[in-house]
Amino acid sequence: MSTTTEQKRPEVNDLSLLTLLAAHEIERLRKDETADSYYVAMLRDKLAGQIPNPAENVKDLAPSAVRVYRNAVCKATQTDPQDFKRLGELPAPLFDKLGEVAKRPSQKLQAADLDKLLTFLTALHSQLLAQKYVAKRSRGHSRYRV
Amino acid sequence: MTTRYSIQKVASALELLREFQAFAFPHPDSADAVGALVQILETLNVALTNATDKLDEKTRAQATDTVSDVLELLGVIANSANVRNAFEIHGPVLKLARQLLAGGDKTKLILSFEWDYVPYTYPQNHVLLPNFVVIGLPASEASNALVLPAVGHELWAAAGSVDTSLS
Repeated sequence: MSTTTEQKRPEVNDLSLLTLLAAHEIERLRKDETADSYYVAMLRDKLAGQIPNPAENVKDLAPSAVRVYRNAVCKATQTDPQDFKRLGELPAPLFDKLGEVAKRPSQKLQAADLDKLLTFLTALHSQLLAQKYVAKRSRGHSRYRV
Repeated sequence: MTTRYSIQKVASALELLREFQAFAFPHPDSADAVGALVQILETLNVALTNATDKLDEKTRAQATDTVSDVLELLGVIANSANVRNAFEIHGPVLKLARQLLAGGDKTKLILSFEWDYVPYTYPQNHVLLPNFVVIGLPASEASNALVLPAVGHELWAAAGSVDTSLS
């Protein structure tokens, strides 16, 4: 990524696109390349806005969002959470790691941690994109219609 | 589909957007929307170019989805410059929108028309243009002043909207 492009990066609100761009940054860190974790930080803030404390707030999410997290967590941790308590506990370390990478992108993290994060983000991305396809198919457009 | 084809697809969409950037829109909000879409596609273009094997397929899928969203919006933006719109109401409606909606002075407005005879709004909830309220009114009612109150209805819908990006 060139410096010029990095300077005028837009705010990204499409969660699937944001997740993908964050995954790209994690991938670069995994390969010991430089990345300032701009999108990782943006994604962390966005997720924190929706689930401030995963251990307590996961049960407040819409069923479709719970499915998204469950599948992503399951892929990243190789554990299928069977109840809300476990589903809240499992992503918490992943969210913490995201926060760590966002705050100190240059700090060396364990390769295994980055692998897990990348798996989490790619699984999250697949789920979000699939959810968008379903929404588009069922509503035709994401418009409010009178 | 190959990465090369995806890059070409994004490049073509960018070329179209840049043609639109050269247009003179009746209101700056439409031009700002085109600028925002250009930035999104340029970011995606960089991601596509640098995608590793692990992320290649996902980046291509995202590119297809985003280009589709961008083109749909571009159609609406193009229509906003058409003479079927009542250009003179943009200012007052924008003022109302800024007073009513959470975005305040950051709120931008695209007034356009549609061909389905179904008025619609993206009430600051389109993922690619989150600061924009996009309102479409029936093309066949362009000469009917009585359709304008529908704008108020659409703004009401915008004021009642919530962030549902994950759900």
